[in-house]
Amino acid sequence: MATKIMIVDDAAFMRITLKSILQKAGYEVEEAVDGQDAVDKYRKIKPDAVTMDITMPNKDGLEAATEIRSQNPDAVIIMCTALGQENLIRKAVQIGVKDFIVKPFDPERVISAVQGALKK
Amino acid sequence: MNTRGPENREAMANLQKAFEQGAQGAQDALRKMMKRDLEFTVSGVQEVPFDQVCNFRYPADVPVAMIVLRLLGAGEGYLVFVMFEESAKKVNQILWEEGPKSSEVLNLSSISAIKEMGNIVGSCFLNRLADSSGIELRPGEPMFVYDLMEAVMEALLIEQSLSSDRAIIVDTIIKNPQEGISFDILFLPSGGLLDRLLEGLTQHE
Amino acid sequence: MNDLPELKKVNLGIGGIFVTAEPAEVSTVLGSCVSVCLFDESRCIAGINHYMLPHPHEGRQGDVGRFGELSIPELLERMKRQGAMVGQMTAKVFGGARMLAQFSNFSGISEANIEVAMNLLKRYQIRIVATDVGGTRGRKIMFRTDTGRVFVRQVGAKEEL
Repeated sequence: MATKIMIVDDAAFMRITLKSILQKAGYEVEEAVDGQDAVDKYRKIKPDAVTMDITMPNKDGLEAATEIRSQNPDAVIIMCTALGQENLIRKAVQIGVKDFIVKPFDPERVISAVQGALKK
Repeated sequence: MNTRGPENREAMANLQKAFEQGAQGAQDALRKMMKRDLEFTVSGVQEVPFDQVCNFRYPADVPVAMIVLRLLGAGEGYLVFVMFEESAKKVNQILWEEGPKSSEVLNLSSISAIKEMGNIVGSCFLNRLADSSGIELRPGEPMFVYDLMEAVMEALLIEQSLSSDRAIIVDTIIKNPQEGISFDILFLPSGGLLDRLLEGLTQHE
Repeated sequence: MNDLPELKKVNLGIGGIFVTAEPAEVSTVLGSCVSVCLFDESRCIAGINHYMLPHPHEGRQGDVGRFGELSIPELLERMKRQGAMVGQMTAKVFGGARMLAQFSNFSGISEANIEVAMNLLKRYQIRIVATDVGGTRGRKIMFRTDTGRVFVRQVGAKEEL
């Protein structure tokens, strides 16, 4: 069974971009459109990993990540940020996020981040 | 037209430098997003009075595509990307090369792509400004608008008009002539943000 | 529609007030701003303004044209100085669109701009014969000072009022 990744981003463009990268690498992809959607879908889908955008309406990525991690301490989450949101990244690390990738996405970096996060 | 005194002229030069540095990061990001070797530079920063901002480079009564980023953090105002419809369509076509093609400016998915571009490039500039001045600045949710230039500018200038008479224009040059992509960036700080930025840039030199 | 060869074209910007007894086509672009077009048909005197905010606030009294509360009376004053009679005037009001509706801090100003016009025109007892206000889109209006007609263009639409 293929490894399942849930992509969380309110921008359709970013979801489609990331989906394309991940599917080409053989991953199965699910999508959520904001933080609340991510929390709801995590319970149903139980993905192997999550890529989570930080800035979203209706619950941001940090809040969603915190909730998911509190319900599932083993949850594998990778944060997605636009350049230089460093203080947010620091907060994310405290929550137990495994890695972060910066927009615009570099396909190789995305894959290596996902592979690395799944191994840990 | 720069009417500030000598110490402020130096501060404006620092502002220009910060935008130039931001443009380097933005150039990298754009090259990655568009998969092209394009050039993106800032050639100057100027203060422009309100009545000129409304038809700055773009006629007041021409529809333009804009990405408007609200400034969040320790300051208020907007960062605005302005381009003609043709350019927006080209940008969109390029961004969507690997996915569904759409050349309709007002199509929801095309707007998503252009908004993300604005978000990423805007972050490059605001991060640079924030780092160089010590003032926390980041972009809010990007908004896409397609309407008459002056109509949108008026709305953006309302907040500023309460505290000043001028806006900052960042002269950007994006070189991709064969594909016809071109856009301008307007930086509209309000409520004393500009003065605080200039002060911060000078202190942190 | 015939364009007379001697028809003057005028562009009105933010804060502008223009009154004339000559044939002209005055254009202006309105977002959240409002324009009041006044026309004295018997004497063929026309006037138009373009204001940004409803009321002046502390420290920024200088720009009469920018505030509806000051700009509309000034417009009327200039019309009278040209020889127009209030009793012969009709008014058309345009603009006040809620641009950038997503940024909620804008709520109120467009509506207040429209309200200032309605209140003052009512106080002066000038009959409002047409309005195209509100919505979320900008308008380009073209005011013919010889006929009092106004053309309104929005992105995607074209109408005469």
